[in-house]
Formats: sequence, C-alpha cells, structure tokens
Amino acid sequence: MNDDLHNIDDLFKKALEEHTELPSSAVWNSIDKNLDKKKVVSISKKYNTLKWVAAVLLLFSIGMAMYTIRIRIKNKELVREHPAEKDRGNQKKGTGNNQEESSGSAKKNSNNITVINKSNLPEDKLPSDEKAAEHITKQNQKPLLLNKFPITIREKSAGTNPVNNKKENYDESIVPNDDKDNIAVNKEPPENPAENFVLAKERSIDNILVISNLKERLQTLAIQPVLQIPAVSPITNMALKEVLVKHNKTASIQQHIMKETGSPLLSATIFFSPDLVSNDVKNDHPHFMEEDSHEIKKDEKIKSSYTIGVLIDYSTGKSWKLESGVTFSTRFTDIDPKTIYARPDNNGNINYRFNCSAGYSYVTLKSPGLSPAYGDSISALTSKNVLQYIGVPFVVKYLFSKGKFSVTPGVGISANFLTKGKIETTIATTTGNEKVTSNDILGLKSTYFSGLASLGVQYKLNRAFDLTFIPAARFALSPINKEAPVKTYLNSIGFATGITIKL
Amino acid sequence: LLFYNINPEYPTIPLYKASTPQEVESLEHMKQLIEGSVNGNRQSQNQLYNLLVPKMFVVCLRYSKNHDEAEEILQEGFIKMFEFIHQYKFNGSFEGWVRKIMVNCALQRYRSKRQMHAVVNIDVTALEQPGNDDIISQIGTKELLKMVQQLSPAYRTIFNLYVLEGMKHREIAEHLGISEGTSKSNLSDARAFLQKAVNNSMQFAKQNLNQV
Repeated sequence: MNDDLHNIDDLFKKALEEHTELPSSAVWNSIDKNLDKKKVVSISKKYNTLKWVAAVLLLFSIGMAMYTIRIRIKNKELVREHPAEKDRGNQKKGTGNNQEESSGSAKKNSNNITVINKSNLPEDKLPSDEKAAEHITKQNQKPLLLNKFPITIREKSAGTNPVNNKKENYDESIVPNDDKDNIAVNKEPPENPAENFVLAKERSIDNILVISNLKERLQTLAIQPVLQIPAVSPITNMALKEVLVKHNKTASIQQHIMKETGSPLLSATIFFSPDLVSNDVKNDHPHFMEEDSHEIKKDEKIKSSYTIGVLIDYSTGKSWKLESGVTFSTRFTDIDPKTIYARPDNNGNINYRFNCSAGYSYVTLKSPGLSPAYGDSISALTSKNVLQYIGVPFVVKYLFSKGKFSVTPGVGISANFLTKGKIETTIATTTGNEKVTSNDILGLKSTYFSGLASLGVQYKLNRAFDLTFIPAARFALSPINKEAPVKTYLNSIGFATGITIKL
Repeated sequence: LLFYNINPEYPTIPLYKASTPQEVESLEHMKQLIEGSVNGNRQSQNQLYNLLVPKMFVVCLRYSKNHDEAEEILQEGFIKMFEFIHQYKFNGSFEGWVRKIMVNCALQRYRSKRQMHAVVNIDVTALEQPGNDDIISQIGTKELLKMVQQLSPAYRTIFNLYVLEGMKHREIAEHLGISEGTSKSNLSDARAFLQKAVNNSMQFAKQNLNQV
C-alpha cells in the first residue's frame, strides 16, 4: 500500500464516505435564526415589484391630492376676494346708471351671468333680451331644472333686497307662458337674506350644469354683454360667482397662484453636477474565481463622474412643486491590470473574457496565432470602463423661501436609460500590446432605477433668473446588471450647480 | 443555486432507493419533510436537518481545516439548501443535491479566502501522532480525516474534488481558475503528503503495540 498512490485514494474514499459525525447544537440554532431572516427577505423580494408600483402610485396620489386641495383652497379664497359689500356698492351705484355699470361688469368678467330685472332695464333693451330668452327656452325641449336653481330669475315674486330693503318684482318675461308648466319654479319668495344665502350656497353646486348650459346658450346667441342689474340680491350674485369660479377655475386659479406667490408655475433649471460615486458590487452568478465580486471590485476605481441636465419645476401651490426633466450622466472607471481567462461565449467560441462591475465582454485579439484554449490566461493592462445614462427624474419638492433665498428639499425616483457602455483595455501579447475596445457590455441592463433625495438652494438674481445649487443623493433601487456574475448598485452624491429660468 | 456546476456525474450516495416497504415508507417520509420545508415548516426543516447532518458534516470537515470552519460551511450550506429547496424536483438523489450545495459552499469559501492562504510547506514531522485509542484499529477514520484537514487549502480542495467528488483535472482547473498542470501537481503533492502521514501513523501504531 505504501508505494501505491491509488490505494491512498481508495483508503480515504472508503473511510471518509462512510464516516458520520455530528456538529454542535449551536449550528442548528444559528440556522434557525437565519431562516427567520431569510423568510423576511424572501417576502420582501416576492413583493418587490408591487412595492415599486405602490411607491409610484403613492407619489402620484400625493401630488394629485396636493394639487386638488390647493385648487379648492384657492377657489374659496377667490370667492372671498369678492365680498358682498363690493357687490352692494356696485348695486348702489348701479341704481344711478344701470347701463354703464352693467356693461362695466360684463367687461370685467366675460363669463359673468347676470340677472335681468325688467324694472331696471332700459326700455329699448328689454325686447331683444326677451326674445333671446324665449329662443333659449324654445331650444331647450327638456324642462330646465330651475326648481333647484337658487336664483329666481324667471319668477315673479317678491324678493327682499338687503341693500335697499325694497321688495322687488323679478322678471318673468323671459320664460314663455307655455314653458312655465315645465319649469318648477320656487314659489316661496326669499324673505330672510341670511337664509337665502345659505340656501343659495347649498344649491349652487347642484346647479353647475344648469348654469353652464345656460351660459353657453347665452354666449351662442350673442347677447353679451348682458346687463348686470344692481337691484338684484347680492346673495344671488355671490352664488353665481362661486359657481362660475368653479366652472372656470383652472385658468383663473393658476393666474391667482402666480400673483400670490410671485413665482411662475413653470421654471427650468440647467445644471452641471460633479458626482461622487460609490459602487456596491455583490455576487450574483459567479462561475469562476475571477468573477467574484471582491476580485472585480478591488481592481476598479471610479475616475470621474458627472451629470448635466435640464429640470422643469411645476408649482402645484404656494409651497409644493413637482419636478421632472432630463439628465445625462457619464461615469469613467479605471481598472487595474489583471489576468483574464479564456472562457466559452454564448456561441461556444473560446475567447478571453473581461469581467468588470458593469458586466463582461469577450476580447478577440487580432494578433495572429493567439487563439486561446479553454482556461488560458493573458494579462490585461490598465483598462477603462465608460457608462452613460439618460435619466428621467420625478421629484416632489417643498419650498421654503425667505428673502432672496429659497430652500427646496425633495424626494423622488429616477429612471435611467443606458445610452453607452464601453470597455477599453490593452492586452499584453507576445507580439506587443494590443488595444481592444468593446462597445457591447454583456450583462448590463438597459434601464435601472434610483431614488433621489435633494436639498436645493436658490438665490434670486432677478425676476427671470435664480442661481441654483442642489446637493442630491442618488441611491440605486435596482442593479445595473442582469445575468452577470455580479450585481452592481450605483450610488452617488451630486453637487448640481445651475441657473433657474422662470418661464 | 449550483454556482460552480459541479460535475453531475460525480458519485453520490442516494438517500433512498425504495425497494423494501421500509424504504418506501422512508421515501414518503422524506417527501413529506421536503414539502414541509418548502412550505417553511420549521419542524420539517429540523427533521430534515437531523437526517442529513451526520453525512454532510463530514463533507464539510473534509474541506475545512478544523471543526469550527466545518460548522460554518455546514451552516451556510443548510441555509442555502432551505432557501432553494423549492428548486429540488425529486428527479435524483436528494442527498446528492444537498451534498453539491455543501461542496459549493466550501469552494466558495476557499475562493474568497484564497488570497489569504499562505503557501504551506509539507512537513510530515509536524503531524500529530495518533493517540492510543486508535492503535487497535491502527488508523481510525478520524485520524485520516485529520490528515486531510492538515493539507494546505489548495491541496485539500483538489484532493477532495478529485478523489471524493470524482472530478477530472480539467474540471477542477476550470472551477478553481487554475491550469490542469497545477491541479495534477497539487494532487500529486497531496497524495505524497498523505502517504507519508499514513506510513508514519502506521509505524507509530506498531511501535505502541509492541510496547504494550
């Protein structure tokens, strides 16, 4: 046996394969604890996609909610900005010169709908209006739901004008007699102005469609400007305004926000950002020693990285902003000299395989007589990896402003689309050095997602321009690789500096 | 799961080949345990562990330098096994499948710590002499295991892969990122080391027997 090496093999094989031994009980305890952790991880992995969908939906919902709330608040503020006193004042003046006042009001707000009072109309104006109204009611085959309409414009009833405390007769002439049966009018005259106000407020929303319908018909018939009759109740005017403000809220609210905040709805920021990048490289599917994440990472050093881009800010209110745009980032990585090995590619051909954190590529040498065999090795001298991405961020920001300075912290996500991936290396061959460039990095995903957290600082230069500085942390939410030996997560801190243009 | 694609033809010991009623029962029991483990049943996992651990621990001991390191590999291997047990399709030997995982974990560990391994000079005289308890059986299995553990990491790994896993030098070279020549040379050195160790142990045992 002593001289027969194969007996050694048999001896050990037979002895060790049949041998059994028990470890300490601490092993199972450790496994038990670790299995609990793995269970948690597996659940989080299982719902990973849903998690991202939920995050996007949440951000979208928050944005929409903020926008809606803001619009409603501004809507109320707008209504308050036209108090009853103003209307009353106008009405008082209007009694002196009804025609002038009415046309003035019509000019101020072309969307305004007025109430026609026969007693205050000039005699020559009345017939045309009556005809127009008659035309409206004839056109409208279905009965108008004026029983819900708070303003008794077609009702001949006694109403109290809180300004002059006079009972007034409302015109019924615009409603033809044959249609009166179809129109369920409010038979009870408004007696108390306060009650009437509440009633009008409650009913005003229900009457949006009716009002808008009526308004459109009036506009179609070209009876504008319609006279504003000051003798009518101010409560009635307020209700009408509220309805109309809601109807036309978008344009007027946006203008109002601009006036109130002093900032435009849209602004564009052009920036340049030098970035500090950190690669987090983890093992994914390593098959060979040189594919180990530690082996790959220790040879790599990020030389430089920068991002340029244009960001568009949209103000959803006084303080909240939504930001999106386009960024273009470039990253240069230096790779130390290392040994690369000949491995089979997807087609079964044997080529030297160059691995890096971005992925891998097969190096085909042009020098004659250098067809490698499986497992052959060769030295790759200093190499370089270039990655370029176009990013589309979506960020929610909150604005704090004081004087000329404003601070805007924000969070969001960014989708990054690969535009270029390149490996440049120099191979030391027996006949000299050969430079090889590969623009096709395998195992590199075309898209990855990253989270964003930024703290923008702006200094107002003038009405049109701001100086902007935005430190931002970008942390990878997904790796840049797929089906590669390693998973690489790109994290970075950028210091963007640029100019904001108010549009 | 099988990171290094160990040769599927290497000899494995099937945990069960149902030919008798007892074995059929054992097979059914094993299936239940595997299915329970897939569903995360901790009791099933524990029973499966207890069933496999005696043999798997020896596999880990062969690839490690001591008891503690073997336990670390064993722990890592079982965690991986339970994590990926849903991928087992009942096509082959379950024990063979688990054993592959253990070997892969050992190889991964070897490769990750490869830079730290110093070159070990073979010094047969540094070997521990077998104790009196092993004299009767001349060389006990534990002594043989200890000899394997005293090999340098490279020699030990190549010896295990070649002799006990049945891999070819070409495959070993591929998996460890070395040349075939290196694999052959290391195996030869490992054999020489073990040969001397066995001889010394035998001589020592004989001397002790004579003294007794």
